[in-house]
Formats: sequence, structure tokens, C-alpha cells
Amino acid sequence: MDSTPAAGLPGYSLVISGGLYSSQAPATALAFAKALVSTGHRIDRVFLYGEGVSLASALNTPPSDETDWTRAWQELLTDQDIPAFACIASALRRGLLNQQEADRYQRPAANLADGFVIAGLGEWVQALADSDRVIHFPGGA
Amino acid sequence: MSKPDSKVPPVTATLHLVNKTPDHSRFAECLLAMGQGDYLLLMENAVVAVADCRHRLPPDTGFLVADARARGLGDEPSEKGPQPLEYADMVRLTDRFHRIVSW
Amino acid sequence: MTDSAVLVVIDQPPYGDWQGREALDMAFSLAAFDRPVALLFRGPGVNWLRPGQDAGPLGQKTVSRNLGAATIFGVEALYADTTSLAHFGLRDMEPPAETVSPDAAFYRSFSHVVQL
Repeated sequence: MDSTPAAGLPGYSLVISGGLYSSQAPATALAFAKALVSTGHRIDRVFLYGEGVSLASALNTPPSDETDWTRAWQELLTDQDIPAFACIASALRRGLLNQQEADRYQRPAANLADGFVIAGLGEWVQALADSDRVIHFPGGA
Repeated sequence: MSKPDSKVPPVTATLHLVNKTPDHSRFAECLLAMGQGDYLLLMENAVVAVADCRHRLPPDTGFLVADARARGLGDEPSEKGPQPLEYADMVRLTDRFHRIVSW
Repeated sequence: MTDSAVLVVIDQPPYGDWQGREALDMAFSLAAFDRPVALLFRGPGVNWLRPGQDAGPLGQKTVSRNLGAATIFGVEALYADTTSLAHFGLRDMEPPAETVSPDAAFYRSFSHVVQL
């Protein structure tokens, strides 16, 4: 796959705030992200917020005949070298921790999936400043 | 069928991304917020709006084919109704519109 | 990129979920990074502005205290939807907000509109 961003195309950031099994947001965002990549667009960053942080749990274990959205996202992030952030306040509240936070708060385990980084809302503010387009995938109903 | 990239929108024109059913208050709020040159993209649960006889959708409306097919909708081509769009068409829309609002 | 403000919309009542709090965090974060930001309370979200809240018995923090600090932290404006205020019988607001009838022109006056 040719992933060299074409000149003149807008750069994108994606914000996912819909939860993994309470919404379609992570799946829609993945399909959109793949369409961006296949049309030569640059994805500057992905930011998970609110319920959206559920995507970044390494412990998500769907049945083997269902799509593993976390793994599917990890593959895209790795293949395309896209930075992905989970909001620290959203993540900690919901029990999504990296090793550093697990140590800091003396929790028995860390569960942040590879390819994702815990970061503050500043990463989102930066996305608004840096990316030509910031597309938000909220929860549904 | 006219593709969504046939016109260049004015700078203030907005692409509205709606993923809620027509019964959700955000759906009505979105329609109220639509102005000249705006485009409405129905995604996820919002695609059932193409079958909802209670609502008149704006002329510049599209829906994601994958979401519609999944729900058994949208395979019959219509001259004036909402346009069926692939994810790549959605990218063409998000490229064209500088302002994009999710509802 | 224009220098106009980001509009963060709150359209759910307080305390029933964390959506509004997390939307408010986004607004405060923008303000902390010196990005212009405004809040709009719309639909049941106008109940955030109801005076006399006490969420202590729920084990939660009362939101009007956070909200009262919004302008101090750099949030440029608080807006409340006129029709929604009438629907929920709100005449007094705490903190006070500017009443608006949000339409295309209103939303277009912001660089981004964020609705969680």
C-alpha cells in the first residue's frame, strides 16, 4: 500500500468518544481511517476520549468469530505509524492504565494496548491547531 | 447521479455528520443548524432516516452505504433522494468542507 | 486556521452521566492552552444552570461550582438556548449565561463545534 501522503491533501486527526461496545464509533472511525490512508491522506493523530478509551484496553477479548477492533486498530496504527492517545483522565477513571500509572496509583495491573499512549487533553488541543480536519466519532443512540 | 464532489462549497459551509436515529434530539438540532451550502451525511443509526416517512431530508443529503446495507436499506436507487456514499466518498466530502460538525 | 472560538455543547442534564463533565474538561483545557472557547447549554443541558444544586448526597461534586469558575479560567462566554430554558422553567441561571437561539449563523461563528 502506498502511504506517502499526497501534497495538497488536508491532514486529519480523528477523535473517538464513542465506546467500543456501546457504539459503532471505533468501527466507523476505522473504516474512515482506512479510506483516508488508501486515498493518500496523512493521519496526524488519533485521540480517544470519554467512553472512547475502551478501544485501547489490551484486555478486550471478543469471541473469535467477531472482529477484534482493538487489534484491527493496532494494525493500522502500526502500519501507518499513526500516534494514538488515550485521554489520561478518561482512561484512569475507567480502569485503563499504563505501567507508569499502575505503579503511581499502586494498582495490580496495567492494560494499555500497544500502539496507544496515555496523554492529556493538550494532545487534542494540539490536534485542533495542527490538523486541517479534526473528525469526531461520538457515541450513538 | 451527481457525486458529492461536484460543487465547491463556500468557506462557511458545513458538513454535518449525524450518527443518531431521527428520534434523537441531536438529529432535529442538526437540521435546525443547517444553512446554505451545507451537506448532511447520515451514518450508523442515522441511516434509518432514509426510510422514515416523518422526516423530509434536505436535498444535499448522503448516507453511508455500508451502514444502510447492514440495516437492509438503501439498495433501491432514487433520483432525488439521499445519495449512497462509500467511505471514500465521505473522504471526498471531508476534504471539500473545511467545517465539519458531528452531532 | 481562524482565531474564532471553539464551541463546546452540553445537552444532557448534570449527574446522570459523565458526558457533561468531560465536555467541560475539554472547554477548560482549551482555555488553559489560551484557545478561545465558549460553552452552549442546549436541551436538557440547560439544567446545568439551575440554581440551588447540591450533589453531595449523590457522592458527586456540584457542577455549578466548576461552572462558576469557567470565565475565571478563561472560557469566553456561556450561552443558553432560549427555548430550552423556557421548556425547563428556568428564569434564573447560576452562573448567568447569555441567551441565544442557535441557528446556522450562530454555529458558523465558531471555528469548531464539539458535542460529545
